[in-house]
Amino acid sequence: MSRLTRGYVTNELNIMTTAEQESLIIRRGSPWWRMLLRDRFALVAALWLFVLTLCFLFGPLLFEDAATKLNLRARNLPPGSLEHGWLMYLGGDALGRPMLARLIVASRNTLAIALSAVFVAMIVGGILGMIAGYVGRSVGHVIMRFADILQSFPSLLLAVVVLYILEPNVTNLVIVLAITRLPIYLRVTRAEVLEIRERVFVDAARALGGSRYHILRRHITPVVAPTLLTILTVDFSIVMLAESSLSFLGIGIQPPEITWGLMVAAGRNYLSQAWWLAFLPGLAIMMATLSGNILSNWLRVVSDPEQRWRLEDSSGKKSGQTDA
Amino acid sequence: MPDPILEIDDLRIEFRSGGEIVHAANGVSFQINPGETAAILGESGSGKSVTAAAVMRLLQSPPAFITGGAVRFKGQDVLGMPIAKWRDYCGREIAMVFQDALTSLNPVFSVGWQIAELFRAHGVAFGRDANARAVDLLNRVGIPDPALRAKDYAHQFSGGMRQRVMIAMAIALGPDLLIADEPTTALDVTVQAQIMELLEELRAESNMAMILITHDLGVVADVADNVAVMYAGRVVERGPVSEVLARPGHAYTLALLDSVPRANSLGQHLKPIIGSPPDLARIPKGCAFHPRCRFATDLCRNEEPPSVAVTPRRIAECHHVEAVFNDS
Repeated sequence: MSRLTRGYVTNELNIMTTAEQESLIIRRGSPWWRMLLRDRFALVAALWLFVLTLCFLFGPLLFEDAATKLNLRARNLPPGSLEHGWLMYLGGDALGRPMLARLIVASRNTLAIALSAVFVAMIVGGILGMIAGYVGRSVGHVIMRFADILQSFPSLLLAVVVLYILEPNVTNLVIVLAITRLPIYLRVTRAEVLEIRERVFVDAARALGGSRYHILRRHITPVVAPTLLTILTVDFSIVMLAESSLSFLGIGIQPPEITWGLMVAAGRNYLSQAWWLAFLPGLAIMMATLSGNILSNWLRVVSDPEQRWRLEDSSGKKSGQTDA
Repeated sequence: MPDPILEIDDLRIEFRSGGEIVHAANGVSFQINPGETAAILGESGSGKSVTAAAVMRLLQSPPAFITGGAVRFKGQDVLGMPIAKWRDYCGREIAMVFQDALTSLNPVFSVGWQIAELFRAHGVAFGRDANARAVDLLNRVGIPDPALRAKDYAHQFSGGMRQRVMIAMAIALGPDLLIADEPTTALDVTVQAQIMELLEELRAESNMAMILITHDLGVVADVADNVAVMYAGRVVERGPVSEVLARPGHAYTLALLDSVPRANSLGQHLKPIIGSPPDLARIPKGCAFHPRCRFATDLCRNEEPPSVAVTPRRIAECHHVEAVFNDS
C-alpha cells in the first residue's frame, strides 16, 4: 500500500516537473506578433486597420483630385465594372464621382474625428472618474452631478445648440462629440476605482509607502485601462454614426469635405435606385468598428497576465502554477 | 531598557455604519522594543487586524474613526502626522505583510517589476540596478531560479511562494519594524512552518522588530518574545510568552490554552470556549468575557476589571487573577 502510494507520488512529481519546464518555455517564448499570427481574426482585423491607416495617411494626397472630379456619364454607376477605370470599381455617386476614391479620402476626416473624440472623452472622463472615485466625497459629488447633467441632456440637442453657436468645423465637432460621450467613461472609471481601491494590493502599496498619486498611476490606472479601451472601441462606431447624423442635419462636416457618415446621409436619397451609395460607406464604418473591436478584444487578453496563455499555447493548455 | 520602537497607548477605534457603532478597539495599549518579536493573539474580531491597520493608517474614515489614544513610532506621533510624511516612513522604516498574498500583489505586473517599483518609488534605485536588487531579494527569501521567476505574475506562484514574494517586498528597504498580519493563515501547515522560519531568520539577520498578528498559539510559542492577548478590542493580558503561556493570569488566556488539542492522551474531548465572541456593537457590561467565563461572579458582570500586575513584567485585566493563576 505504502509502496503504491509512494510510486504514485513520484510519478506525479515527474509530471509536474515536465509541465513546469514546458510552461517556462511557453511563458518566455511568445512575442506579441507571434500571438497575433496565431489568432486569425485578430490578424485580419489588424491588417484591415493597417490598410485604413495607409488610407488615412496617404489617401487624400493621392486621390484628392480624383475624388472631387465629376463624370456625369458615371452617375450612380453600379459597382463591379472596370469600364471607367479602377477607381470606378465600386461605382460612382450621384454626381459621378468615383466611390472608391471618395471612401479612401473620407477615411481621414472620419477616423480623425471619431478617434480624437473618443480619446478626448476617455482621457477627460477617465481623469474625472478617478478623482471622483479616489479623492473625495464632496469633489466626487460635484463631478457626478456634472455627469448627470450631461447625460440627462439629449446629446443631439446639445450638439445642435453648440454647433449653432460655434462654427461647425472639425475641432468644434470633436469637442461636442467628446462631451456627449464623456459621462460613460466617467461613470465606468469611478465605479471601477471604487472597487479597486478596496483591494488588498492597494492597501499593501499604501503600507509600503505608496503615495496617492503613485497608487492611482501604478495600481489603479493599469487595472481600469482595459475596460476603458473596450468601451472606446464600441464608442468609436457610435461616434462615427453621431457624426454622420450631425452631417445629415447640416451642422456637422460640410461639403465639399467628406466623411463616411456624410456619404451615408447623401446616399439615403438614392436608396431605391442606387443602394451602394449608402451601403458602401456604411460597410466601411462597420468594418472599421468591427476590426477595432476584435483587435481590442485581442489586446485585452494579451495585456491580462492571467488570460495571456490562451493565445500563447496553441494546444490551449494553461501554464500551470508551480509549487512551493 | 531601550525606548520602545512602537508604542500604542489606549487606542480606541469605532466603526460607524447605519446608526450602529461597532467598538473595534477599546483602549488597546501595547509596546514593542527594537529587535523584539511580539505577538498579538486573539480570535477573529478581537481587534488585532484593526489595530495594525490603524497603526499603518490604512483605515478608511468613514466608516472607521479613531476616537482616542495615541500611536508613537520611534517617539513620533503617528496619527497626528501629515499622511504624506507617514507614507515616507512606510516601507522604509515600518512595513507590513498581509494575510492573503494573492490579493496583496497587483495582478497586472510581474513580481520582479513590483519589487523593483518599490525601489523606484522610494528613489533608492533605478533601471537595471532596481531589477537586480529585486532578483537578489527573491533569492534571499528562498525563491528558486529568481532571475526567471521575477518575470512571472502573482497567479503563477503557489501560496507559499507568493507569501515569500510579499515578504521580500516588505523587507526590501530594510525596515526596523515589520507587522505581519496573519502571514500564514492562508497556507497549509508545512508551508506555514517554512514561512515562519523565513520571517524569523530575516528578522534575526537585520535585527528588525516584528509584530506577529495571529490566532495560532503554536506560532506564538515558537517565535515570539512577548505576547498580547486581545479580546473584544482590549488587550486583556500581556507579558513574556514563556510566562504567559505557562501560567496565564487571565481567564480568557487560560480558556484559550485549554482549548488547544493535545496529543498526550487518547479519546479526550476538545474543550472549546463556550459561546461566541461578543457583538462589538453590544459589548457586555463589566468584563467583556464574563458570559463565557467559568470564574465569573457578580463583580465581573458589573465592573470593569482593573489592570493587575501579575508579575513585574506582566499585566492581566481580570477580577480573579489569583484564582486563574492558581488554577493553571
